Amino acid sequence: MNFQFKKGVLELCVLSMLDKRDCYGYDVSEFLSRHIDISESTMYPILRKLKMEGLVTTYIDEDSGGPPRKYYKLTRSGKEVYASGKNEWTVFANTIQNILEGKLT
Amino acid sequence: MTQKQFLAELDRQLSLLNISDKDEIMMEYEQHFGFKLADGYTEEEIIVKLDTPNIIAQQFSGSEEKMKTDGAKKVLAISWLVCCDTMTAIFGVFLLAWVAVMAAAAMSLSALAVCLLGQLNYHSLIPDMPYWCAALYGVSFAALAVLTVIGGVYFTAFIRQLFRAYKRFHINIYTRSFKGLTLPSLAIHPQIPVRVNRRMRTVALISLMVFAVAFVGGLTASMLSAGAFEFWHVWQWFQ
Repeated sequence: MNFQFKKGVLELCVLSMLDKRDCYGYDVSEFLSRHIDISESTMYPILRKLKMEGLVTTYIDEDSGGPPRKYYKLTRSGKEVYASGKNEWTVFANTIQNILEGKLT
Repeated sequence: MTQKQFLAELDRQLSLLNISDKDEIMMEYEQHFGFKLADGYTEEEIIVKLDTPNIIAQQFSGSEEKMKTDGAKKVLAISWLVCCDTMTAIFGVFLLAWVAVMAAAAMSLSALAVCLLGQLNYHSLIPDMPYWCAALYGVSFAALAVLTVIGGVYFTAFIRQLFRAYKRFHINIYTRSFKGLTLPSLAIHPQIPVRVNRRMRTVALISLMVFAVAFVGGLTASMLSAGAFEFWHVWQWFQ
């Protein structure tokens, strides 16, 4: 079976990566598609959506010794949304786990 | 399919769906190919791991759709914002005025305390009383001044947070009708760091106790000195 829980949580994963350090698009795509079973083009539309929503912003870095790269960076509201999203997810995941293990009545 | 064919098709699909910043998107996919080729993958291997250009373009158009809103909603949002802002400005003036009142109260209380303790009688405004009574009163008013200052600090933090929450509300109304997505709203209780809060609370409690003790002490001292409960009669304060 192919449950859809992947899709919902990808944005949270992106925010989490950017919370730790600024990344460029390929960074995010490569890391997440390595660990999660998604196509490698999935992350680019998600990054753009986050930018349009004002949660991330971009800047061009010219001195990485190659062509200029577009880096993604969390905005202050992005940090806020990430913090609350992370909490929400933790509570949610724990609840689901408890249900699966039959710990809830 | 080759890289060139893939990118050409992606470009075509993005144009078909009228995606804005198409060039930026194309550049990102070109860089993707660049990195993967540098890592040793062939063009075919790279393309296999990507969605088809058709699907990719649709994924990009998903967020475009959400951003569209109609003109009527925008006009409504702007007029609502103007109303809210005017009311808030008026309310804000009253709030700030109260801060000024608290500041004035704190200053006059401290001035009074200094005069009482230092035996300065400016224009004979302070009625005559034995020094130990004056000193006790002075201490109590100084404590009251401290309390007023702390109250002022809390009130200012409260106003500041109110304004920040309002600003976020204002921005949300604007973006909801212009860009379609909003930020989380802020809490309205004052945001004071825990340690500062704790210290202010201890100071406030101490001042409150000092004020109570000193004021009652002052009253008792006055009654004892005057030899009567209504010491202000004996000393002819209000004649």
